[in-house]
Amino acid sequence: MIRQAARAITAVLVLLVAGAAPAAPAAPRTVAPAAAAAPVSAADPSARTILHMALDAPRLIDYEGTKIITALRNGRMETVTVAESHKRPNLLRLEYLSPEDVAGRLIIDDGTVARHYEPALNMLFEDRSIQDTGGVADLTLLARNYDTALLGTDEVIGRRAYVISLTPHGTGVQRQLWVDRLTGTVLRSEDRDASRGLVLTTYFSRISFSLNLPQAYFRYRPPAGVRVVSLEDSMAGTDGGRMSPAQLEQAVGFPVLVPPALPEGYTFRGGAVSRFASLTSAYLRYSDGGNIISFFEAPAGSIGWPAMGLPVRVQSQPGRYIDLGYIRVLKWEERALRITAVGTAPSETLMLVAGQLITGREDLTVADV
Amino acid sequence: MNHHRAGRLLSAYVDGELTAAEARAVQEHLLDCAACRDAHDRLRATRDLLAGLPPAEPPAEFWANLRHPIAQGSVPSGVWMLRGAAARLRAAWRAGAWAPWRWVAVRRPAWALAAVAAMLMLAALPLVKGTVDRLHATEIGVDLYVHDHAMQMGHAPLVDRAYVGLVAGDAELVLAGETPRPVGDNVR
Repeated sequence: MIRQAARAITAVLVLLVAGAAPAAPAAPRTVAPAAAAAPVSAADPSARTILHMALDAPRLIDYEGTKIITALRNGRMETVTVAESHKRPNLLRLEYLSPEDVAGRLIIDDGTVARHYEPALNMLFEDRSIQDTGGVADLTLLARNYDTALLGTDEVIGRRAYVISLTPHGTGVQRQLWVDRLTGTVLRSEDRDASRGLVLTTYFSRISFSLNLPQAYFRYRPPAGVRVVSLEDSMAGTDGGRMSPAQLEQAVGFPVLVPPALPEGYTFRGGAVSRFASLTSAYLRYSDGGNIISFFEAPAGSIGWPAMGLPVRVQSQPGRYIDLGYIRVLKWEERALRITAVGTAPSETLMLVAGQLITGREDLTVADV
Repeated sequence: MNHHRAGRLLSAYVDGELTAAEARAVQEHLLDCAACRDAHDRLRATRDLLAGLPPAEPPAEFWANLRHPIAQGSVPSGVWMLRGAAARLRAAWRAGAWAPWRWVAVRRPAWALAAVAAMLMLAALPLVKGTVDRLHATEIGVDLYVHDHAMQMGHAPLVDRAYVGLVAGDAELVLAGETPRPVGDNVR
C-alpha cells in the first residue's frame, strides 16, 4: 500500500516537473551558420523597422531567461551561461551561472549605477551603468554607416524571429540579429570579424515574457562584511564624456593628440578624463554607430608597458599589440605620451590610426549627427 | 631580562613610561650590568639637562619680520611659513637649545642617523607612494582601459549587456588587485 502510494507520488512529481519544463526546445550549443529558414516575404516589415523594434523592446517588455554567450577570449572560444532578467524601462539583473570561475557573479543595474557582486571574494563593485542611455546620435550613425538588410525569418527556441544583418561600409564587426517577431527582443546574435569569422555569439536557451518581476528582484543588499570598491568616480565630472580635445587638454594638463584621419564611418563622439589611483588619462571616443574605438593617452612616465602582447613598431616607435579576442589593444609611445587604442576594429585599422596622431586640433568638436 | 632588551627599554625607563613589571625587570638588570648602569646615568643626565633649559625666546626682530610680510600680503603663505620656521630655528640655535642634540649626534651617532633616516623616509613617502601607484598602473593599465572601453560599449546600440558585464566585471577584479580570471576548461 505504502509502495503504491510512493509510486503514485513519484509519477505525479515526474509529470509536474515535465510540465514545468520549457515547452520550446533549447537552441543547439553549436551555433549554426547564419542563414534564415524562411526567405523574406512581401508582408515582412523593413529591416530598419525591425531594428527600431529591437531598440524599443527594452522600454516595453519584461523578460527573464537563460543566455548562452560564446566569445573569443585569448585565442579560444569561451562559453558563459547567464540568467538575464529585465524589467522595463531599465532594470537589469545578470547572474552568471557558468563556468565555475564566474559562477555566482551578480550584476544589478538600475540604469544609473551597476552593482557587481563577486561572492567568492565577498566584494562589491559600484560602477556606472552598462546600459544604453538612449544614444540617438549613435543610432543615426548606425543608419549612416551600416547596410541593414532583412535576411528572412527563422525559429529560435520555438519562437518566430526576423533575421537582420548590419554590415559596416568600412572595416569592423558585422552583426546579425534574430529579433523576436512578437516582442522585438533580440533572441540571438552573431558578431563576425572579417579576418577571424565568428567572434561573439549570444542566444537565449530559455526565455519567458510578460512576467510581473518584483522590483525587489532588482535591488541589491550586500551581505555583512562586504568590501566595497567604487569605480563610479573614475570618469566623473567630465561633462558626460562629451568634452572636446581642447577642454580635455585643459583638464589633464598635458597635450592631447587626435587622429587626423579616421577609418571610414568613424566620428569623434567625445572625450573624458579617466582617473585611477595616480594615473590620469585623456580618453577620446570614436564611433561608427555600431563599433567604438577608444584612445587613452597618459604621460609616458606615469604608466609602463604591459607584460603581455606582441612587440610591434608603430611609425618606428616601439609598441605592443594585445589580442584579447573580441577586443584588441594597441599600445605605443608618441611625443612623450603613452597611447592605448582599444576596440573591435581589425588590427590593421588600429595600426593605421596609430602613429598618425597630431597635437589637439582646437576645432575638433563632438560631431553632431 | 637580557642585556639587549634592557638596553632598548632604558630610555622609556628613564622617562617613566614602562609598566610596573617591566620597570622592575630593568631595575634588576641594572643591579647586575655595569654597562647598562653607565648608559642609564648618561640618559638621566641628558634628560635633566633638557629639563633645565629655559624656553628659547626669539630675537626682537623676529615678530616684526614675520608680521610685516603678512600684513603687506606680499609674500605667499608657503614662503612666510618657511621664513618663520627658519627664523625660529636660528633663534633656538642662538639660545643654545640645540646643544643636547649636538651632544646626541656626537655621542650617539647611530641614533642621530636613525632619526635623520626616519625624517628622510617621511619626506620621501609621497614620492614612494607615487612610484608604487605608477607600478600599480603598469600592472592594471590594459585592464583599466579595457574596463573603460567596455563601459562605453554598453552605451552603443544593440551591444549585448551580459557580455559587457562579463568583460567589465573581469577587469574590475584586476583593478581591485585580484588575479585575472584564467582561460579555463570551458574554452575550445
